[in-house]
Amino acid sequence: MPCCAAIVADRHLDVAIASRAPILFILRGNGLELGPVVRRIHDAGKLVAVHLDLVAGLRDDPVGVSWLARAEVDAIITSRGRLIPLIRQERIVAIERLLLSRRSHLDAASGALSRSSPDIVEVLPGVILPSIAHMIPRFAVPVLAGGFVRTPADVRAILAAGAVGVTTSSQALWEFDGQ
Amino acid sequence: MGSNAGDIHLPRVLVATCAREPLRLPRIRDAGFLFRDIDLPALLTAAMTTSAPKAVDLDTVRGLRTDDDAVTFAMERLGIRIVLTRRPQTAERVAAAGGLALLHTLAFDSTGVARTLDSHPRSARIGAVISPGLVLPHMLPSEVSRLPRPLLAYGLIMEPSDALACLELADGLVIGLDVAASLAPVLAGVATEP
Repeated sequence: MPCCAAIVADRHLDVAIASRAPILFILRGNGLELGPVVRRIHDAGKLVAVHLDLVAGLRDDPVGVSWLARAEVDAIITSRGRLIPLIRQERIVAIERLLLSRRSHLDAASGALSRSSPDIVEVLPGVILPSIAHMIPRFAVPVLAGGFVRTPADVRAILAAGAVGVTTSSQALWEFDGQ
Repeated sequence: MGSNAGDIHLPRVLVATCAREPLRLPRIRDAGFLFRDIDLPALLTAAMTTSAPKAVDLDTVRGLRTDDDAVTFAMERLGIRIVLTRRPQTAERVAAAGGLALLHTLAFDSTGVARTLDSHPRSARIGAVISPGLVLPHMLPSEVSRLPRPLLAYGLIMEPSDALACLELADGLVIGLDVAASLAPVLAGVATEP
């Protein structure tokens, strides 16, 4: 199952837990009260990744990382490369977001990713990955793509461009097997 | 061709430049320059030496604080009346001074766009920059319709087909000189359409 469920509202959680998506990405909600949510997701046999920069209540700093570690999340997502080593020290999968906006920013962003050494890179907006994949250096780690991914055709094109999976809030894709 | 906001015309094509090389516009009708990632003295020189339409990405000018004095300097001293910025307050200042402000809207995902638009001042002289512009054809019509006008597509537009797709939805686009040169034959046709 290549599609991870991006949770952007609390009401989507039940649908995601019941879906075939193997990993739930928590992008909104109260970061201070994640324990019960994490347990529910784990009880469903799924993994949970939390976006430290986006959830409410937590500062994107070392203590915020420790807080999520105590909540037993499986992965932490951030755009802040300085936090990646701290996340890995907690033995949590570190996912760094590569935000694509301009060609002139790509080299700097790619260099920063090389220095921070995340476990996974998430490229946004993922829907354009097939168009710009030739400009992005090949990373030594798996690549996910998220943002405006809405159709099976989007998913197939992104996988063909080299990503191992997508993150999407489109619930229909949470059942999509990638074929 | 392009878009008018009050008495200010947004060109259909803005060629991005940091003015390290002599300013040059490809043969594209309704084109101008976007000064970005540029040092303040170079901006001064470049703005004074071209009669082409010009815009500036104010937050990226090295040496320039993004405040009221900077807005006045850009508009009155340099004659740049189209200002791109990430800051709603700066955009409002530009609009109040009679310019056209284009507020950056980061379009990395749909929820991010919605959140960014919540802080848009929604004034007649404040449009939007969708960044990266390449994502614009992938947005839903309902999402595009919520974007303030005039709308500029900016970032990662490097193929003629992408440029054309963006121009169908936006009032203008930003491209690099190398891309503009290669796109000139295609964009000339678009720019001359009624």
